[in-house]
Amino acid sequence: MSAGHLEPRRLRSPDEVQPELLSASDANLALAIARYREDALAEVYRRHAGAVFGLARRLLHDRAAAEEVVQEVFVRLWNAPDRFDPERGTLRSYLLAQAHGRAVDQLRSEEARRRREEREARETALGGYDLEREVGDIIVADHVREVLGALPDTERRPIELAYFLGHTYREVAALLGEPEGTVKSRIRSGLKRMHAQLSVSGLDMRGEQL
Amino acid sequence: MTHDEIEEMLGVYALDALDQDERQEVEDHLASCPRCRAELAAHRQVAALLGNPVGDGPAVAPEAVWDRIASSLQDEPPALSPLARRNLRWRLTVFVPLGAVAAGVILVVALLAAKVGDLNQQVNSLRHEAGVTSVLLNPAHRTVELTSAAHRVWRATVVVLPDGDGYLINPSMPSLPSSQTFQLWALSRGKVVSLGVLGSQPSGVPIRVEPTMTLLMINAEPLGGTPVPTTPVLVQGSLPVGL
Repeated sequence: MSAGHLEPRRLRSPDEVQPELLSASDANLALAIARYREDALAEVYRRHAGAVFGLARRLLHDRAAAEEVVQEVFVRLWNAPDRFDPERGTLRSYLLAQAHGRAVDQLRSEEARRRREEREARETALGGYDLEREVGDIIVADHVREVLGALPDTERRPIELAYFLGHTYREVAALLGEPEGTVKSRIRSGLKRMHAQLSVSGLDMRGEQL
Repeated sequence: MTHDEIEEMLGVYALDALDQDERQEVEDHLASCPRCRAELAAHRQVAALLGNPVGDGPAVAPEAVWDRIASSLQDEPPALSPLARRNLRWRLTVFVPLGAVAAGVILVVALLAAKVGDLNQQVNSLRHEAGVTSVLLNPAHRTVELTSAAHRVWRATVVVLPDGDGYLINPSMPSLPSSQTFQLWALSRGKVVSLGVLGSQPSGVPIRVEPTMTLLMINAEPLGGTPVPTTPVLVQGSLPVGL
């Protein structure tokens, strides 16, 4: 029973962040987290938790569930900081990807799935599945919306159904009445097209804007 | 699945739109395919832009969530070094008396009913004892003694398996002020790298060494550890070649 434990690293409020961390790059913050700097985690939280929360709430339509996702994402960053690879993208995009994955898992939990299917069945019966309305309130940056809007419908719709409503590609195929393989390749080609467009329009794809 | 079939799935994978079994297949392939990793990174960038909320002001995450996160961190098992955290697998072999461990846990529960706050750490240290035992029972383990030329009583032992997972055990180290922690370092390709902080009583701490590492060292650093050593080495020991 003599096994040791690490000293607790207490930090009650993000206000206690050391000044040098306030100007640190995200990559350096991730490094500091790997070295058990809880104030580095606090600073990452200050910068990105709002976006993570916003995405989770948009997907889940439930504040408490979205808060849970935020908590999971940041605790995971603390426990496995090396899973973030700065070469592969920004910390924010990593955190958003994590949040999306967690939120989608929740959406696909049995109970959530049952409720959603009931609702969709009802809406379909009432005159067609209204995808436009479902995704209509999605707020993305203007330039991203433009690029998304410029995609052929055959690519845009499956991307929206998958990303914003958390459907699997099989579900998307069923909803759209398309073969699964077609949906797969249209999502891929749509994402490629968007990437090219966004790069051409000079958007900083690595954008670290807060 | 072939490379081409996996490639075709990268878009849906980036949008988390695969079923669990297919997800696993893609992940297995990604581990060995830089080309697919690069394509996926591009898809992820687009997905992140879709997911980055704008308009009616960026959402603000509630302060209360941060408080929950900050307090949950202290209930976590001791943090391992990033390397150990990545790869430490639980090594309860048939030799480990599982029943005894369970009984021990029950005993701890009984003894510590009044000290619930300590419970996680106690259970965790029991698990570490089981881990240490399993390493020691594995005939392939190697033992490295970390010693001090100046202070003969200062020493610690590292037991490690050929795959690099191991434990620091039997430390006999100076006591530290509460503002300090022991930190483990390794010499790897001529550079000193941190293997993580050990706390003030580093017994049974899981560690992980890589084949490139030739020397292990422990010193005392401010709480939380430092990226590079700032104080003299207290004990050190060479790792066997070809570990």
